[in-house]
Amino acid sequence: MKKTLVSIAVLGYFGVSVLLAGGLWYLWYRTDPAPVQPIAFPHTIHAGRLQLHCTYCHIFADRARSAGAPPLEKCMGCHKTIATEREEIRKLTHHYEEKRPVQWVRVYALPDFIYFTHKRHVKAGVECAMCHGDVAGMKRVRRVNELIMGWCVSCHRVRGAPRDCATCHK
Amino acid sequence: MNPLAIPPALPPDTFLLLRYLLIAALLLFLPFLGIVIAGSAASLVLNFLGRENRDDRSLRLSREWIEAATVNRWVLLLLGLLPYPAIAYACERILGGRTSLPAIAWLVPYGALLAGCLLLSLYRSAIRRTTELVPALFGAGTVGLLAMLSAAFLSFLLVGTLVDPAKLPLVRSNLVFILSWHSLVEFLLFLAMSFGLAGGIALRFLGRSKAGGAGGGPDYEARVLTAGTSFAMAGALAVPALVVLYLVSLPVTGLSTEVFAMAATVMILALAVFSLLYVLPGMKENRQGDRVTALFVLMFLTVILCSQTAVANAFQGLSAPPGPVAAVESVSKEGKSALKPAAGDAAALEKGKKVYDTVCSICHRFDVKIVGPAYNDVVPKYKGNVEKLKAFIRNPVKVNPSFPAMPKPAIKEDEIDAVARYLLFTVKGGK
Amino acid sequence: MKRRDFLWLLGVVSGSTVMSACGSPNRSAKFTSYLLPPEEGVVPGEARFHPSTCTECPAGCGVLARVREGRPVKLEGIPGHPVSDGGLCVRGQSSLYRLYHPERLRGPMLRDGKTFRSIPWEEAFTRVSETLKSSREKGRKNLFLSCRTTGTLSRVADAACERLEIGRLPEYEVYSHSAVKEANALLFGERDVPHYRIEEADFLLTVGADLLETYVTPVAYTRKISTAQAGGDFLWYHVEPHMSLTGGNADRRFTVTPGRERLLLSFLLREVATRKAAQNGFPREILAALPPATAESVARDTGIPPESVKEVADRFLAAKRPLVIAGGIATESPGGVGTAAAAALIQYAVGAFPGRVDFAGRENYRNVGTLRDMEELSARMGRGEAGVVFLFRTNPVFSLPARLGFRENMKKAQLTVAMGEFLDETVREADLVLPLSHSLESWGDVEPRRGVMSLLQPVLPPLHDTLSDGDALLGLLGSASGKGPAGGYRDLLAAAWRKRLGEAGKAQFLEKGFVEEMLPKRPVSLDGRRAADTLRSSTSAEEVRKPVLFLVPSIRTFDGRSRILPLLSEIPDPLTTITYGPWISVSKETAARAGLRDRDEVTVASGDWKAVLPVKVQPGLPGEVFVVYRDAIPAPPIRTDPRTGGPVDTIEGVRITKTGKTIAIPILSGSFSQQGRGLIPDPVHLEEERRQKRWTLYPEHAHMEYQWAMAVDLGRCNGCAACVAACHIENNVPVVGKRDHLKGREMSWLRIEPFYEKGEVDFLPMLCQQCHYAPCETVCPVFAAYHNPEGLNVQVYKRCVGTRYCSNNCPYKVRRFNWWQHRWPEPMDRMLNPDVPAREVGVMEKCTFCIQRIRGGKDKAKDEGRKVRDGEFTTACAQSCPTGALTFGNILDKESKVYRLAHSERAYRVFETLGTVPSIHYLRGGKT
Repeated sequence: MKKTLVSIAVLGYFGVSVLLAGGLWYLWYRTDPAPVQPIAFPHTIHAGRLQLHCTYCHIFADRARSAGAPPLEKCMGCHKTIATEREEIRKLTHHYEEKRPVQWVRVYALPDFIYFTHKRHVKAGVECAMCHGDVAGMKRVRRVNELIMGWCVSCHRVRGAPRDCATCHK
Repeated sequence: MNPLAIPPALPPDTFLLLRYLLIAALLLFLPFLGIVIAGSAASLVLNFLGRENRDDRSLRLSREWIEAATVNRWVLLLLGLLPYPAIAYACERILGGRTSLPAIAWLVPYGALLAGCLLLSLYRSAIRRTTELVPALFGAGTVGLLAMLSAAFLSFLLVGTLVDPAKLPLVRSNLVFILSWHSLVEFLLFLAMSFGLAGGIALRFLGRSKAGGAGGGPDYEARVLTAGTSFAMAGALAVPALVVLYLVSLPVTGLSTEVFAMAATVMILALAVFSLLYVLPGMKENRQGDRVTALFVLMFLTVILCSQTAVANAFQGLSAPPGPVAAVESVSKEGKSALKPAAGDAAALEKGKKVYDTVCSICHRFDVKIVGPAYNDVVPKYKGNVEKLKAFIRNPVKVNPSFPAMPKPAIKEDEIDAVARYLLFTVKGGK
Repeated sequence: MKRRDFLWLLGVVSGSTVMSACGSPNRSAKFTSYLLPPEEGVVPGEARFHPSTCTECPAGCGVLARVREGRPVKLEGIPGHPVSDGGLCVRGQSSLYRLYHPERLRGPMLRDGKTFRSIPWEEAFTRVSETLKSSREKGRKNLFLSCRTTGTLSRVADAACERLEIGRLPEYEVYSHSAVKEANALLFGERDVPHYRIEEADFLLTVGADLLETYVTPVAYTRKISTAQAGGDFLWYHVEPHMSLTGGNADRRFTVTPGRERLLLSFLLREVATRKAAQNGFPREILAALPPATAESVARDTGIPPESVKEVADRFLAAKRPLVIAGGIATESPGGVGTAAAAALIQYAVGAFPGRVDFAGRENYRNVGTLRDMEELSARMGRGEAGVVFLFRTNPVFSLPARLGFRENMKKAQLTVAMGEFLDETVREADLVLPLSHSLESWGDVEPRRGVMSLLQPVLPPLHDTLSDGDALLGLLGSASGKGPAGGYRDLLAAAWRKRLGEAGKAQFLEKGFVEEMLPKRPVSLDGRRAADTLRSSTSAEEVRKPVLFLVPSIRTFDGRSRILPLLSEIPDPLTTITYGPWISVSKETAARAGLRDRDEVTVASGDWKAVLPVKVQPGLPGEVFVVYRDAIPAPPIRTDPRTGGPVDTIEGVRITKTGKTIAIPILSGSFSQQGRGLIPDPVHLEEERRQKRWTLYPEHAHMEYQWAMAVDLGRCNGCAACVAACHIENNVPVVGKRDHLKGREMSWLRIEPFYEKGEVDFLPMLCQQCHYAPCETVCPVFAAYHNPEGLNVQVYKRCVGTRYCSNNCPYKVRRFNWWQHRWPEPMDRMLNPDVPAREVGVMEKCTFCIQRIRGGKDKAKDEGRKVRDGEFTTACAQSCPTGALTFGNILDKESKVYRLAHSERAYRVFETLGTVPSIHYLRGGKT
């Protein structure tokens, strides 16, 4: 009797652990680090093979708080004639012609109460790949770090950037 | 050198090989280390208690356990010391120039490992002679155990840096960044599995020889059974909670479905151990010992694989190959070397270079075709005729069937002029 | 994040169902790309400023709308604007709440029994045009009633009415200044309110006119007065029958018996005419028409002590450029036209025309009609003469006295078309409702006074299915006449501007937001005979029987039109600090006599009319005088002045009876007395102690580049609370409502504390003092409140766990706690400033010296590789203050204004003896 109870208790404990692990998996799954984008834009070709610099498309990275996605007109500049038979290019062209902007899925998102400015970081000499990883090697952009406060603070500490709370906390 | 510069990435094949090397070395190293640590801990404790309580069975158990755990001194030394350099090498290569951990960081655990092996070997020989140890030798054994524990902990800290590569550049400035919860949890998991494995070993190997020495007999076997079972059970029961903590503490970039699957496997293996030992009675101890040992070794393997998968995930997409920055640099260098003109042209050429950098370089390079032809091939065809080149830029027509039609660049007239002059100047090599 | 999730999971019983509710919302956020690149100079994430004009009241102050992500999030006055010159009042700041109000009309509606149903614009216009035709055929008259319109809109309305044969009625404004206009018409032939150049005067005597609150163009007057005061030799005396914010801020204030202002002014006129008249050729007949008076007789009749009467007269005569302004409650009483005439004559006698009192730049009230015009309209409608009646941005059902029967008579018109923004009392009674866009969604122009044209431009597309004022009128015109002008109102405006200003002028107008023409001075000719007649007819005794109730406009709601804005109920009334709920102000004598205390419920009755209101004891109110704000009394029992046709806002012979109950109203001020604590020291207070070096255990703070500080000039602060509204909007401070206010849980980061000492009122703006040795920092268990290297006391919202110990320890009580998770109902959530996070429940907040602006300023300076310059940016409160009482800057910069002010001899700090070393330096009353 006692043995059965103990068995059940311990089995329950194992069960809960497995469930917790499953729960963690589910949570992780929901925060998809490499989400599917509406148009499968490959950085491998543009940043990799063609060796376009990041700021060729993300023009506001060194000028504004957020780097943003390039306007569709920039894409159409080449893709009016290049690779027009590809499915993804046709999708792009439809968007442009129907004047429907593309709704990209965010890969890197900071919470609302954080003030982060790309301009200051780029101007301070932080390279894009330091935070965003090897984007030129990514077929689908993947989040390579979780932008945790401790990570930001440690870099600030090393580089002598301000560590005042009010620097980032709005 | 900029401490935060991105080091060049490993070619994927090399990376794979290094990871396999690491897995193999860890698989050899960790279970054995674990058995040694757990076994010697058990042995020391039992020896101490045995001497305190005048309990022969404990003393005998302490001797047998350390014997089983360390096999013989040569095995101890070999397996204790050989895989470590392989591990260190693999880690350093994978980390690349990121950490440039000082050599001392790797040597300290190695030294501790060495010291631990020697001391435990000493302890082992001493206890084989007599279980009534003099305090000095007992102390030696204890120190050896502590050395092994610290070596293990430090190794986990060092190898654990692999799983959070985003933090690595900072380790260079301050070694304190090596400390992480994840390493600690991994270490505790390692200890749990070690104790379990030691329990399995005890069940498998101890209490077999009926002959010789005080403290033999069925009571002794019962004692062995109790000790082994309790160690195995403790290990097995600690595992699920620690695995959950492991998953929580793992940096999110390391996660993937495989990692979760392997973690679940570890828990199921632990459940199997528990069932074997508690739920299903009436098996002969020895075979249980076999199974328990096998299960724990499998657990080690799974955890190691899980960790290394996490490492692979974390490294995915992290390092940058010599990238566009370098390319633009090389282009500019090329352009710059050509820019030794008369003063008046300097401004126009500068402007032209800028237009090239921002507009034309998408598709054109001087030396190689990317989308459009290489300039070195096509610009000479204009024979220095600025107007002709400008006309083409203004209104490009498809010339060569093997190249796509050049789209009309959205640049103003003065920019067309500037870039045409720049191209003619540069390709000619200094007119 | 992950650890918190894990711990939360541990507490879960059935894992899977709850797990599905988890997940950070940010991760599934989308971001949209542009189609075309933004134009040069547009940087996403950075604010753009577009000039427009505030239309919350008729003053027409120019505003810069700060636009983020395609919508306005803050309004600021345009520096250099001829009306507002960079300042903006409490109502102007709050007008964003009007734009984003969830109860705004969303589309045209047609009456369907007791309710309305939505219809499309075409159907609405068609119905109107059909009814216009049919009523003309039936012999009824179509009528158009609007609020005061100026500029192109006024001309378009006139043209449309003419084309469609609609009678354009005199415009209806509750405060139409009829008596002043009538007096000016009789005396000078100018039926309008002149432009007063107070900044050129060295002695200002105001009689009744609430210049700082609502009179004609309050922000401009406030600015002018503070400019004049900064000049050094300006003196301002105010005479009123009750107690107002304006009176509280004047250099000297005299309480006059209600209705007897005229006698004081007549005396003054006599003095001026006899002692100074030689200079001006003052008509003798006017003097003859004046009643004989001496200082003693005037003192007897007006209740002002004789020495004060003499003082007023002497100072007025001694001044080189004196100015007298009579208006407001003084002219909205019986015999008001006499008061206005006497004032105008005094202005004439001292040569204030045409410089200080200027009809060339008059305030464009010529087309505004009187209460009598509304009586006639109501009567016409009652007789069944009205066909289609348009009610354009007016609310006569609320503001007209019930005896006019406007509401009932409205129903007798064939079709009433209400054009407005909300379903207010009048719109609710109409047959057809045409919603109008807010001024921030429309093109247009306004001419607040002649010679000034201010731009209205849309800074966001209309939130609802509404049309702008001009487009609505053009739509009516087009639909009814069969053809409208080609293009919309915008094209019409562009053509008008081009014609008036030329192409270059138009471009500049669009960029600056206003244009000011220098008008030639217009001399006036006095009709002496009519003046004498006016004076003579005024001498027949018009007395105001006490007890008297004054219905006055409120700085928070003007004539009641702004009462729908929740923020204006949240901000306390400056004199009483009451937030929600109407009240009746009662004098101390009456309260003592009748045994009334604050919050006692009383019945206020006069004739048939009755109201039930809670009491508030108002220091400074003379006995038997009661004050109620206009927005508290719908359809008030006011009579029409037979001479001017204007309203008489005094209700005589009211009976106040205590009912024995109490009404809970939030009175936010703890006490009107400083309790001897020297919050506003006057005279020099604790000077010795203040100068003492204080021994402290705390380490000295080191400030490297910047140390932010603020100087508050109490001599300039007039308690208008514009700063409070600005702070609310800039920092997303929520409106918490009456229930929390009753518990004393106000949310405003900045409060204006009125202190009544020795018969005067002083205002102390109290905000987080950013103390150097802040008592709040040491007691926070999680280090959420800390002192940053630039001298600010920073509150990190994410760290705060809601212990509230910091608020407990704060001696200034300026910390605010979020007791609730505040929700901003759609579309008010678009009003939130994206630079400032919305705080969660359980988090402490307080003034941050607009750290988001500091950050922005430093960012800009860093781009240009320099330090921040003084005056480059400032806090929201300092920016909005019409008097310039607040100064913000870097006190380490010895050239900065804040440094100079902080080291002036008027400077002191509140509770200095506590050793908190605040960063806010207050300047005692006096001249800067």
